[in-house]
Amino acid sequence: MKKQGKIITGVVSSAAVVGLVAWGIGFAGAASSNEWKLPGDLVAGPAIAEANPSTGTAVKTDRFDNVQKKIGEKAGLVDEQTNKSYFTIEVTKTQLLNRCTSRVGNQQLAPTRSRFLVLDVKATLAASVSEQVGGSTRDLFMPLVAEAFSVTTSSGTPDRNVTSETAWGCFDDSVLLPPVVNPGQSVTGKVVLDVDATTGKVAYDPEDNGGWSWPYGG
Amino acid sequence: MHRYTLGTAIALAVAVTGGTTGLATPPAHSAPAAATTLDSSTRSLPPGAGVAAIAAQAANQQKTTTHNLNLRRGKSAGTKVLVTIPRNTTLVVTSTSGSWSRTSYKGRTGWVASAYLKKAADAKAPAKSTRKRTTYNLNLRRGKSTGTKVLLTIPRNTTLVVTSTSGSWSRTSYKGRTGWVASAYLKNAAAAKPTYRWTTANVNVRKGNSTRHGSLGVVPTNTRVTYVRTSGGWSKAKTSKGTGWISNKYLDKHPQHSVVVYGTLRKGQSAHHILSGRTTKQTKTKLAYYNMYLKPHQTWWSFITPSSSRSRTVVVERMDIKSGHYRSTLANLDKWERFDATKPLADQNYNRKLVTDRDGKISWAYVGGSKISKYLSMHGIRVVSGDYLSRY
Repeated sequence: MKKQGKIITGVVSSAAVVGLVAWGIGFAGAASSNEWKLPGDLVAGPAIAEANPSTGTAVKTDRFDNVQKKIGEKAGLVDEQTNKSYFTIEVTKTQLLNRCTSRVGNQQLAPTRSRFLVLDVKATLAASVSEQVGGSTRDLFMPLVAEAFSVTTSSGTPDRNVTSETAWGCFDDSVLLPPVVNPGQSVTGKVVLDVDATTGKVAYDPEDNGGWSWPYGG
Repeated sequence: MHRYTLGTAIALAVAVTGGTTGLATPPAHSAPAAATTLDSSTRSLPPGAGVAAIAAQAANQQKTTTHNLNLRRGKSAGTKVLVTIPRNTTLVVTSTSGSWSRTSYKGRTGWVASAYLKKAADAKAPAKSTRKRTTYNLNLRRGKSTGTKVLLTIPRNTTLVVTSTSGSWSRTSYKGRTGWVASAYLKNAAAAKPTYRWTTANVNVRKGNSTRHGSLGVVPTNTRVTYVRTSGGWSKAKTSKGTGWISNKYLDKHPQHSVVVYGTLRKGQSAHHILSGRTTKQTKTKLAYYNMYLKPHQTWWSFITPSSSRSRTVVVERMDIKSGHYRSTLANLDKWERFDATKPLADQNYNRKLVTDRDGKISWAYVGGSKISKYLSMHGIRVVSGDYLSRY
C-alpha cells in the first residue's frame, strides 16, 4: 500500500478517505492559475490500495506503479466514506489497425509506426468531485487526450511517444473521446495511438508517474 | 390700391395657369409661353381671387408642392426667383395674399403660387419610421392635443418608433397602445448598429425570397451587405444592387478571413494537404502575444496560448483562401482540429479565434483550448523561437 498515506493526508486531507483504488491524477489547478496543476501532495504520485474497496479483489501493480486492469475493468478513485467512485475510467476494447479513415477527405491514413492502437474508453467524473479535491467545479477536469496515454511493451519498455499526426486525423469527432471529462459528465469514445509494439499494456497515466494499465494485442 | 391689387392678380394668373415664370418645370398641361402676356388671362383666376388678395391671411398651414415651384421675392411672376422648391416638398405657409402663399425654404423666405400647393396630408408620414428617444416621462395621448386622454406614460429614455408626425405631435406606439406624443420631448435615437453579412460566392440579389423571383444583379463573393431580416432561409439585405434577398446558403457572419497556421498545417508539413491547392497567397509573418508549446515526446503536436507579453511571438503562415473554396476549407480545418463552435470552447483541443498578425491582417487561428492548454503546458516545452520549423 505504498504512497497511500500521502494521498490520504494530501488529497483529501479532511475527508476520511481510506481506500483509493488509484491516485487522483488530473485535477485542474485553481481558476487563477495559468498552469494545470495537481492539487497539493498529489504531485508526489499515486496512492494504491491493497484491495479494491468496491469488489475486495487484490490490487496488482506493474513496475511503473500502474494498477493493472483487464479489458472492460473499471478503474478509478473511490471515496471510502461513501464507497462511491468520483472518477472512473475503463478501456472497454482495444483494436490494432493498419490504417484508418481520415475525418477530412475520407482518405486512408497509415500509422507512422507499426499500428494504430484504437482504444474504446469510458470515463466519468462525479459532480461532487470538488468536495474531494476542492476548487471550483468549473476548473476541475480530467484530460483524456492521447497524450495522457502511454504503452509498455511486453519486454517492459515504456513508450510515451504514442501519438502522431495521422493518429490525430483518424475518425470523425463524433466517435472520438472528448479531450476532457468535466464534473458531472460521463463520456465515451475512441482514442487513437500510434504504436510500435503490437502487444503490451496501455496505460492512462497523464502525469507520467503511474496510473492504470490494460493489456492490448497478443 | 385696388388697381395695384388687380394688376398683381393679373400677373398671378400668368403664374398659376402654368407660365414658365411660375413653375420651375412646367407641368404637362402648362399654358404656352404666350400665356404670359397680361391680357385676358385674368379669366384663369380662381373665382374671387382678385379681391381676396387684399388681405393676407395668417395661416401656418402645411402645404405640399405639386410641381417644382419657384420661390419668388415678391407676389409676382416678374419678381426674382430665390430658389426652386422640388415637387412634393412640404412647406409651412405663414400667410397668403391673393393667389400667392408666403413660405420659407432652405433659409429663404418668399412667395409661391398657391395653385401649385395642396394641403399636406393631415398626418405626414415620414419617409421611414424614425427611431426617437423620450427625453422626459411622456404622456401618450389619444389625440394631438393636451386636452385628449392620456393612454399611458412612457418612461424617459425609451426608444420609440415614430410612424408619422402632425404639427408638433408624433404618432407612436408603446406597450400595445398607439397615440400621440409631443415631439418636443423626443430626440433622435442612436441608430441601431447595422448587422452585416458577407457573401460566400458571386450571388444573385433577388426581388423576393426564392429563386422564382427575378434578380436585381449579382454581388461578388466576399462582399459586405447590410442584413435586414430573414425569411424562409433567405436574408433580406441592402446591397450595391439594391435591397433584395440572398439565400442564406451564400451568406456568412464573417468576411472571408485568411487563416494563420503555425504547426503541421504549414507548407511542407504533415497536415498541409488540407490547404494545398486552396490558397491564393501564403505569407510568412508573426503573431505577437502568443506562446507556442510542444508536448515532450510528442513533438509533432503544437499549440499556441495567449501571452501578456508582446515579445512572445509565434511564426505563422497566413493563408489566403480561394473564394470558391473558403467555406469548405474552413469546415475541413475545423473538422481536422476538432473544433465545434456550438460546443463549450474550454473543453476543446483548439478554438478558432480571430487574431491580428504583425502585418495588421485579421485572420483565423486555432488557439489551444484553455483546459488542454493548461494540462499540456504544465510539462510542455515552450518553443522560444516561436517557429515550429525550428523546434529542435
